[in-house]
Amino acid sequence: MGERRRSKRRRKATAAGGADLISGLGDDVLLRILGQLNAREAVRTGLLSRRWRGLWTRAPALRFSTGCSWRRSPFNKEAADRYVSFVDTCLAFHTAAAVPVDHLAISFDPGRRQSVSDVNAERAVASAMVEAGQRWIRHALVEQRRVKSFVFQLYLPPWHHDYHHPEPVIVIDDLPSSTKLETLHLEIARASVQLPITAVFASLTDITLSNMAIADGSAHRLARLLSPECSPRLRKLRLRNLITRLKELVMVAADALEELSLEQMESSGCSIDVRTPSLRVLRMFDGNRPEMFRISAPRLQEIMFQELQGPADHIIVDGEFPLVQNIMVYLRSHGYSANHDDDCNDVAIRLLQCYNVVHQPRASLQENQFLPCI
Amino acid sequence: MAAPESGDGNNGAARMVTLISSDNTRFEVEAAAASLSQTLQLTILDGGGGGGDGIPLPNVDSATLSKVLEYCIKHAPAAANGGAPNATAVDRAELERFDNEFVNIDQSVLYSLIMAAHNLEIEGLQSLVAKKVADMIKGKSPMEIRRTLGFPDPTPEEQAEMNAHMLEYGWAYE
Repeated sequence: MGERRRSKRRRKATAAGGADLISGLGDDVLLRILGQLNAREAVRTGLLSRRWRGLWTRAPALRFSTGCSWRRSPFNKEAADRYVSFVDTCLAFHTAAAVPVDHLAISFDPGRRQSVSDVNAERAVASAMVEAGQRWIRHALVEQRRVKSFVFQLYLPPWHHDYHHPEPVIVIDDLPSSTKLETLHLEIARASVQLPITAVFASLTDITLSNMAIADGSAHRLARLLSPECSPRLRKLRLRNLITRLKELVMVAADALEELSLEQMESSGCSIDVRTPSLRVLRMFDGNRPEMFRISAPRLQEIMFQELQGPADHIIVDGEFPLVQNIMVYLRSHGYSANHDDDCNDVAIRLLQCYNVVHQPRASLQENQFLPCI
Repeated sequence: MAAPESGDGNNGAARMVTLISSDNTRFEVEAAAASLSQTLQLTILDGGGGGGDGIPLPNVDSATLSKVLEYCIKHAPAAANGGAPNATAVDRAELERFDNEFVNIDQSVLYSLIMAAHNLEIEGLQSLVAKKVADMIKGKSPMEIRRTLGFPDPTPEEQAEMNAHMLEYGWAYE
């Protein structure tokens, strides 16, 4: 690794025509390149030259991620702190550059915990993460008023809660309205969330809420977020592993909604009412059956209704599904709870009946242990 | 599918246009392919580039232009389908294979291509080449990024500035 070898490599780079050709490109081209990188890589380009030093602060996308290696590596408070300060520094510089960010993604996972070590230290980290998380969400919607796509993932360490230390709550109830935001993905594990009270998202088309609990007593705010009053242009909604405490999920005036996906949902005791003129795709799987499910979706093309646990439910289908091309339902032949065996296939059968009118049904049966004998 | 609106008004044979590179080489291509360029699209819609006229491109040399046109010809059918919502998975996979192969080129060619894609405003090609350069940066240490992009090793002065930068953004260099 002597000096000789280094200079040799340097000559080679020049000979190959490398010689910093990239600096001949205009800023707008370089910004497009920087927009493809995650924040760690983008910031590293700041070392290239003076011109590059602050260039990344004007990139149209900012993506922060602790990286997947963190998930496997042991929990590390110091590294988590450094990450928080890195994100804060970058956001501050980007804000100072006053160039709007189209896409902002922040993911924070402090890593796997080694053993039950110090409960208090763990709580301290979780509190710090909650505080940082709230700050970043607010930053996305308050400072970056032009952001079109905001993706936020927070994986808190396991929380040891008792009377004095209730489960952490992410409070974002005072978020302002946005007329620019198009995509909102929130995934917040092991905390509950207090959703906005009054914000209106006039251009929001894509919502994903994942892994979180809706804070006690605020289920109506979730209903509001999903309602046409708050998100009038909602086209794609994905709710996954969400503890909603909702008694009712009503997607009635959602005229623009095209895709609805309910995954791993605790929907027992909840009634779901989907009356959507534009809905093309409906997926419900890996969760509990809702108390009642009512659907009217004349433009539906794809239905997936699978592996839902719990007692047989009540389904009302208004009208037919004349455009359906793809249907996946789950039929049991035997072996479930004795109380409900008789009618546990009712929903699937009801959906298949609605599918009858399709011109050329192409049904495929996947073989598994519950395959019925037809 | 209903018959697509034919912007060229010609039945049968596709309308051709001529592009002239900075070194005066003439390239005859289908108007549909050249129209992937936002810059050329307007001229072509106005009826330019046909017959003996040709559209001069003083910023693009013939080697680069031929490469750009190779991209446009390959992507024109999919673009004509409005981003190809009904393209088969095979078609998409084929385009992806083509794209990967297409940017597997020397850096000097790549940069000429980037500038041409930018001047001609060919959205797909701009993204493709930007992604290629980004891929050259991803997963590399600061020193590797410098070498990959052909920057000389830093002078001691630059090294001091770099150290300050690294301190400021500590986590990015872990």
